[in-house]
Amino acid sequence: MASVLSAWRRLGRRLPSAALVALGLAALYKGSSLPFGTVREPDSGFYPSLICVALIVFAAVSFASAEAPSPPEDAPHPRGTLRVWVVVVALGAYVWALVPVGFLLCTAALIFILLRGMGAVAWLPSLVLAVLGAAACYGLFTRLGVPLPAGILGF
Amino acid sequence: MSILHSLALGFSVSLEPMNLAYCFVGVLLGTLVGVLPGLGSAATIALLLPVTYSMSPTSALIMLSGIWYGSMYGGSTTSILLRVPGESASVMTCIDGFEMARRGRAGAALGIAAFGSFIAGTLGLVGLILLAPPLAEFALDFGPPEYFALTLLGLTLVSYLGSGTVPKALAMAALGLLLGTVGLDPVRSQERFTFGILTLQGGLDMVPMVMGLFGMSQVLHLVQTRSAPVESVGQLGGLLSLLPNRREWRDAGGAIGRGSLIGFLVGILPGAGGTISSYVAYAIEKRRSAHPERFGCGAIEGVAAPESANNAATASGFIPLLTLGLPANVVMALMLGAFMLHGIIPGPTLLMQKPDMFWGVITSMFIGNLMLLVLNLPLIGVFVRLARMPTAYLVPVIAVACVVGAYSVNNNPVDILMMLGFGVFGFYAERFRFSLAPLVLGFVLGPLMETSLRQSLIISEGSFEIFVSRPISGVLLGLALLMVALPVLRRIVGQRAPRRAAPPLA
Repeated sequence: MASVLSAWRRLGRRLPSAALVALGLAALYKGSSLPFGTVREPDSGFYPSLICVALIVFAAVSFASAEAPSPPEDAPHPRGTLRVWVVVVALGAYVWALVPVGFLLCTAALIFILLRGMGAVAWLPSLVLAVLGAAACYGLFTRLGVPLPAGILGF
Repeated sequence: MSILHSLALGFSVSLEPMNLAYCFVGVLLGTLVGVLPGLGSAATIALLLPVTYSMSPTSALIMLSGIWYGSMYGGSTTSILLRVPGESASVMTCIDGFEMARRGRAGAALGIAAFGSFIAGTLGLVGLILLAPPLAEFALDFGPPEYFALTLLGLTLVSYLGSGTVPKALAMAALGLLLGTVGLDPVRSQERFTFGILTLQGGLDMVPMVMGLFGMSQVLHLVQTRSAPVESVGQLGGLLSLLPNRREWRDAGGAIGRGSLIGFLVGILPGAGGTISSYVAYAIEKRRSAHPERFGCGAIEGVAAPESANNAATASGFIPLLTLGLPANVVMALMLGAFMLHGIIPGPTLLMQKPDMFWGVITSMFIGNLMLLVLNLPLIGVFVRLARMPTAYLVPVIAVACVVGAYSVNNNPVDILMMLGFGVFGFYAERFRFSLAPLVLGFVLGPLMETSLRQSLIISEGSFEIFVSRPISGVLLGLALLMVALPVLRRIVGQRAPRRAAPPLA
């Protein structure tokens, strides 16, 4: 069981290098439709092809020689990965809602989730800081000439 | 134009009230960034790139430079008092700085760090002023083969000196070069990797990309980790307690001089920067000391040398960018991005075409160094309190700055998605020890590398000999090849050595 687990971990460590090899191959395939030219007169596809080959070679070498991961500098939070993905999903939802709902409400919600979600700030201070923070941001950036979406509040 | 005339022109630009104000904002932000362990100077410069749209190019560069060298000052305060290096370049300062603080000499350690930084920063600027104009003149003779060789050397050096293995770093550099090809071909304007999306014709936007790679990935890192409790040493006395005594000055004087020289020389090398120079300066200081056993137990030279080195390196790091248009490290790559946002290509012609900007930015660093000395000593107590701020409050600040900054590029929420995508990529890349610096450098240098490669081949009618037959490009390419071959050679030698050393079988 332990050997299966360690083999699985080793494979996991090599996965990013494999993904880079795949990306290089896909880009090489996509770039093959570009005019290559000749070495005397290289065309649009010449340089990307060289770069793709370099990417594939270096990623393949790093795949073959994947080293053990160094211990992280900071101790991970017990629910660290979940927290990361909560933030990513919250930001994805923010992008989706920004124009229809507006900057103020979306940003207040985002700040609240980040403060409360980190677990270090209580409900009420999180709420107050979220509202004040979003309003301050809105004021500052609209003064700097960034037209932020008004949304349902109308300003 | 003589150097004195140039300096007078520079000071007339940097002493304009608006530029003075931006210089102050830059060094203040830099100090705060240096103090706060969750935020680096690269992330802050990335976050502020969109703000510089509305500023004049000179003011923008003065402010962004201030953040860079200001962060080196700030990093020493928390290293000495809390053993928390705000910047990687301050890691070496923790060793003896915190020990000095434990033994009741916190004031002297902070004082020597601030004075050493000021002296080294000023000496570094003198070196920059003396070296940059002749180097820019020399670089005027560079043709496409030399530029191709220089970009290749820059990328290999950065890959060699970064974290993680060399193949991983080189793969990231290649990925950066590939991302740089998205958009229109710089020679024939043919569309490449745009997938029919109109906004990709202009290429990937640098701002959301670097904000994601450095800002958002930092947010995800802070969310994922548990912040460690901060150990602190006793209270500081008044301003007078920051003055080292005569013996400490005598011990530290030589270390400041040597640290400045080492930092200056190492800082010019692509990829080296403040962190490597502080390691080298500390190691040399320890080796040449008559009492190396004092290092690690509160030796003042152990504070003076690395702090001087990292500040001298920030000044000399500007030399390749201002004279050759080549960024020596990731912060300089972001500075190159700032130049480009304003339609300016730094390089040998910058000194002739924009002398006011060139000398204005350089002289602003003298003023900024002085501001930092005045700012740092009395405000140390405030910075220590700030460094203890829970990361929970820092996370929303960085996240909202990333979101608004990315949105402000084109007033388009899609840029926020792109920033988020690069943030997730950067977070996992760092976890698997794929360094981000080569990727950004590759992305920034890609167009120059492609143009110079294609022009060289057209000039030579398809002969690759052009790269080795010209002395400068030949030497530069040789160095680049050596950098790639070195790990392989080391591995071969390493495999042979134990075999030779093994005792014969009975």
